[in-house]
Amino acid sequence: MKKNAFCGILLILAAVIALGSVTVLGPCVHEDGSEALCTGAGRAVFWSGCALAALAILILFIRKHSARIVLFFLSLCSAAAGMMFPGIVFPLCRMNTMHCRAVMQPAMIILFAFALIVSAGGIIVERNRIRRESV
Amino acid sequence: MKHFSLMIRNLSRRPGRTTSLILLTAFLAISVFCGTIVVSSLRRGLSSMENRLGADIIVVPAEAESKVSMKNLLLQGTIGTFYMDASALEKVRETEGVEKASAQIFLSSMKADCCSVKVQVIGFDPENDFVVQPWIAESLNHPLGDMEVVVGCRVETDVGNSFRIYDKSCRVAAKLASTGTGLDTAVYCNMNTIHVLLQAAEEKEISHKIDSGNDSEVVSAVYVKVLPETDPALVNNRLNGHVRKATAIRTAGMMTEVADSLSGVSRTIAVLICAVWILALIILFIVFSMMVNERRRELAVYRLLGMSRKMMSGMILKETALCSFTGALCGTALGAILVFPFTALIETSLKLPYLTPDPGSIVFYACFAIAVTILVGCAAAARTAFRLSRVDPGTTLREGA
Repeated sequence: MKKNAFCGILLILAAVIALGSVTVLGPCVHEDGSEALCTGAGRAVFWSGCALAALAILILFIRKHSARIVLFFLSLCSAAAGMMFPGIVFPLCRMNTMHCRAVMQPAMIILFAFALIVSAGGIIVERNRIRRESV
Repeated sequence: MKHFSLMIRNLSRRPGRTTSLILLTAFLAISVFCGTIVVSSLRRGLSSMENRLGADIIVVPAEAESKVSMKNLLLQGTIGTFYMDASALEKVRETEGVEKASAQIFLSSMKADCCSVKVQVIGFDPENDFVVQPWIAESLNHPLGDMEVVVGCRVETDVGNSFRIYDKSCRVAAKLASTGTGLDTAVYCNMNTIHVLLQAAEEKEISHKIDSGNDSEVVSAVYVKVLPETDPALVNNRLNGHVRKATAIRTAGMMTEVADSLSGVSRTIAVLICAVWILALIILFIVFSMMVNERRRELAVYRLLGMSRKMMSGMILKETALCSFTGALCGTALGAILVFPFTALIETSLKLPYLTPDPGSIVFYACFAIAVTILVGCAAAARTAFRLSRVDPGTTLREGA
């Protein structure tokens, strides 16, 4: 249980990101059904959430520490990219009070930042395990 | 140092108890920090609104009040487009007791391909204006040219960029400082630019004309400053009688309305903080009371090993202070994560002027929250520390045997 604590937390965060990006933490929705400027950012966030979830599931089933480190590193990169998607890589609507800027961007930055910290923690723990086993 | 390591070992030996203490104190710190920040932001927003609203009276078309609430127009940047004959400005100026009068024209852009974003465009006369111009002068050091706009801080564009309104490209000349009101979401331009934009809107079949004239002869609102030592209520009545098809609204009334809402929100927050604190304090007292029985034997052993009563109560207080400090630090950090990134959301939800305090004040509030939490934690533990230090080691160990 303790061994999979980091990927468990990562999986929960990834699920919140992916589900949140299509529900309450998603991009703006125009009343007339037209696509908002931030729709692309919303999609990117959803797919990076899915990628994080897939990586976390893989980590759960892989026993080899070096492979787990690589996967944690990939999830760290994915989280770092996810942080930059809303607003930097993909444009958001041009008013600060709009849903994408008021809710989606801050919430996603916080969630991806947590995912990044958890991934970094996972790397450190796995490295320590390799060191302990080699001794 | 030896005591410190003993404290750390005591705390780490009981992770459940330590974690719950940290969580409880973190909860206290979050409530104090977030509550203080929200209330002070609302107060700052109100004072900023008072400063920015330089007019005593606003004269708007009679139908404007039914179209949009003037309070909402100022607080939330609600798009309001209403027009009256431009002769209203002269009539206002002729009214007894009026010191200054300045007209503004409102135009709403569209959320469509022709426009960068749906915003309230406000045209003003830089030469006669006393409402927007002093505020714009803080960010712009040259007169606002034709097809130049000044944007509120919440409009996401940079100085030098172009901003499209009804397919007309306007250059962003300056970005204004935050006011915490709906004015932050507006775009300001001079009268020549607003007439070009009104014409462009007309070409898009969006009419902004009044029945009686063309767009060059309309105004949306006239801002009035009354002569010193003149009763604004009296001038307001005169304006209501003198200017036809228009309504004069006193800004003081609007401010009172906002201040009332603000005090209501502040009261609710204060009550919530009190409820959280009372609840958390009760839980803290229960936790410490349970600790008296749980640690009786442990502390009896310390006494047998030669630890004085003073040292023992000091150790318990230091343990509590360390837990409270960790909890307060975590709580304040979590509070900052909850409050600052979601400022826009809080502002739109509260529907009140909201202006985040300056960094110095934020640091002060954070220190205040940490200090209060540590103090309360130690106060709750003081009674327990006193009771445990009075434990008779012989009796306690015999009872436990």
